[in-house]
Amino acid sequence: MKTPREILLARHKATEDKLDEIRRTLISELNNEGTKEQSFVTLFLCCSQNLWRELILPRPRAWAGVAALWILIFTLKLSTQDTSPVAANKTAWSPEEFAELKQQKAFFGELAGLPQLPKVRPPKAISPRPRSARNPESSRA
Amino acid sequence: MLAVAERKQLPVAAARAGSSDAWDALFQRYQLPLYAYVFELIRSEQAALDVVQESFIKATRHLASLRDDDRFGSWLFSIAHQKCVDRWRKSGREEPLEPEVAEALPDFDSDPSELLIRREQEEVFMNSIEQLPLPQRSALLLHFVEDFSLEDIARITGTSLGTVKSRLHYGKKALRTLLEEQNE
Repeated sequence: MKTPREILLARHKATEDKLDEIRRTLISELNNEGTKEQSFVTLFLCCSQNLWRELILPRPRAWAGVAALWILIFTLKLSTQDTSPVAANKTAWSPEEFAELKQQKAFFGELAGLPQLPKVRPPKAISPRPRSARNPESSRA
Repeated sequence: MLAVAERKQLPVAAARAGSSDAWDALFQRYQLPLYAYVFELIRSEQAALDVVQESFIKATRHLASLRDDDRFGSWLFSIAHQKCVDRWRKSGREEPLEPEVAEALPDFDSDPSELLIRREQEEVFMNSIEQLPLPQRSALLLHFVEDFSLEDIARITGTSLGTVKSRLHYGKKALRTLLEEQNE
């Protein structure tokens, strides 16, 4: 007499070789993934250890000096930084700076051979005189 | 061969920690019962092997989501069951494991070894299993192969406890009738 479980498993016993093959493949893939991760970590640790042993450990004073110098530079930079409102508004362009920038742009345009843009005439200043007091010649023109 | 499936002391925690030996032990423990269950549902050797492989791969990727290590077996079977359902859906067949309405039934006798089959009845038993409707076949196979509890079967098949009771009750009844008919 057999239980249903025994009958069912015995019926598929012949497929066990194929199942073993699938299992072995999956386990080897799992091992490969584990080895890859492990090898990356090992390489990183090994490199950092070598770096520490060969570069830092033989000259501790020199490295300490370099570190102190960097700290000093950083502190000086922080202390000399201009935080006044004048410096903060520095980004606003003055008319002189704007005119200079325009000149430079025109100069570079000439150098590069770009066609000159037609100069826009500044609008005539309107004289604040009454119509009767204006020069008739100028009004005809 | 074991009369009933043993579920204790499986190296689930070690597998979660990444031990390939633990995975090997888990796969070895479940490969044949899982294959038997899947094959009896989808009736194709290659498809059943594919489902077993895919289930194992999914298990290795998602073991962290398993809260209770003692439920590893039912969790693995639920992955395989879902893969069978996906295959049916992809092949365009109608959902064969649709839940039926649960009825009030007497308590189900949960001992799978109560049904002992003589050697000359083995072939008849397997033929009878094949003739059962899929929902009943699925519930009975889970009960026979791994002696899963009603709650586990409900979880694996994604149905209610009442539905599982109903399927097991009528499945066993139909199985007995078929066995008697074929013996006459």
